[in-house]
Amino acid sequence: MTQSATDKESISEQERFEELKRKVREQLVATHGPIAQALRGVKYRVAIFSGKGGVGKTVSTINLGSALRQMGYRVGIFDADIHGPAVPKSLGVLGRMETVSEHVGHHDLRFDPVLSRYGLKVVSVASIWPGEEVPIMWKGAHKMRSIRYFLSAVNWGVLDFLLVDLPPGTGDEVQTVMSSIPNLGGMIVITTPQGISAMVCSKAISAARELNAPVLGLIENMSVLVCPCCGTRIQLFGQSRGEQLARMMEVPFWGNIPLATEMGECVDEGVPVVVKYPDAPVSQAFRQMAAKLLDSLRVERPMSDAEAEMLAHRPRDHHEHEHHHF
Amino acid sequence: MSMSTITSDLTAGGSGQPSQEGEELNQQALAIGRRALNLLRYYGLEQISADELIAQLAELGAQSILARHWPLLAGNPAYAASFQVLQIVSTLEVEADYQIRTYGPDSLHEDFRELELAVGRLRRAIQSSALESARGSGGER
Repeated sequence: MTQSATDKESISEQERFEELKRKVREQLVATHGPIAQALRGVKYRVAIFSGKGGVGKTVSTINLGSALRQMGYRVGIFDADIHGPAVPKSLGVLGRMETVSEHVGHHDLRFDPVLSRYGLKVVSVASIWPGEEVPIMWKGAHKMRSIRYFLSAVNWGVLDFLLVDLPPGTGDEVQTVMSSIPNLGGMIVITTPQGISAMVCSKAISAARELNAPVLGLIENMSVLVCPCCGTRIQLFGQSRGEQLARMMEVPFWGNIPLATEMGECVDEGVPVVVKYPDAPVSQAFRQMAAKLLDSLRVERPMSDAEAEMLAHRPRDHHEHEHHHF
Repeated sequence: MSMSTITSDLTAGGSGQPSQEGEELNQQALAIGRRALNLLRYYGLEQISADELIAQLAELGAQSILARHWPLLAGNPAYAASFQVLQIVSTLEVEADYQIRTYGPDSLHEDFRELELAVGRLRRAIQSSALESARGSGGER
């Protein structure tokens, strides 16, 4: 009896030790692992997601990013939509990401982001893929690995904001981003007026909460179309439900973004609407969203050059640990 | 898109034969892909540990090949097959540890199947290119 009790105690201790090792390892990886190291110069990490596709996440991401850029912030965009990477085209980014070798003969492959015409750093699988006609048929764990690989292998440099354009839904890619990016500042939810979007978005918000990802705010896109001829307001997608959804899910409602007749032209040309039509109501709305983001994260101003310089020269810690022994 | 279209397109720029660098790249990618498949097989059969798998994947040098031939690979549909093989192996090299810890060792079964398909496509592309080359040489006589 005593022997059995001793064995049980020993097994239990072993399990506790293994659990402790696992937690310590996770903490170390989160603070000192490859992704943490790659993002060490990025001050705020924010992901944009929705429950369903077609709500305008990508357009919202690039215009939010561009509005922040116009305010003087250093902005990068990670296009995490592996199967439908639209960020480069929407920003007119045609070049490919180039590889950088930190050490001659070193086997680590690192990439430099592509810089858009308007000063945004862009990382997307579209910028490395063999061709538009070649389908990206990655599955399951391969997608997750690739997202993590991009996060860790890119020279992000110094950024005030890294905006992550997520694919629709709450699947593996979204969960991977939420769990892999250390110190994720939060999530911005994009919805549209339709009831179906509100329903799916509510699930997405619940999923974010389950994964301990703070939801910073909810934006309702394509809320209303203002007729350019007579000024009549047309609710093309039904009555607005964004505010109601935000109230129900207890998240801040950041406001509505109107439909814009200029938007299609801007996306096709690869110019953010906030750049091409800065005085349009839709551009004003995006700037208001940017202000809401700054407010929610209590960001007072862009990083100064001195701060950026300091962050840029912060060494990668190959051997530094918060604790030496356990 | 038919297989013949895919394989005939997998040459330099969709017309002509692969360059010498391209041929070398294809052969290296094929060799790496085959060795990676063996390693995944050994791991699946518990003949090697996860640490051994990751260490030996790193020794294959997929990242080095990608870096060396990047100007040829990136954005070039002619080398899509090689790119796919090298991309799978290089991400495994870097993230297999996280994947096994998060999703379990069985999660590599899907990668094995995907890599097997990718290696198959590359092998057919190389064979198709060799056939084209032989026909081309015959036609010139």
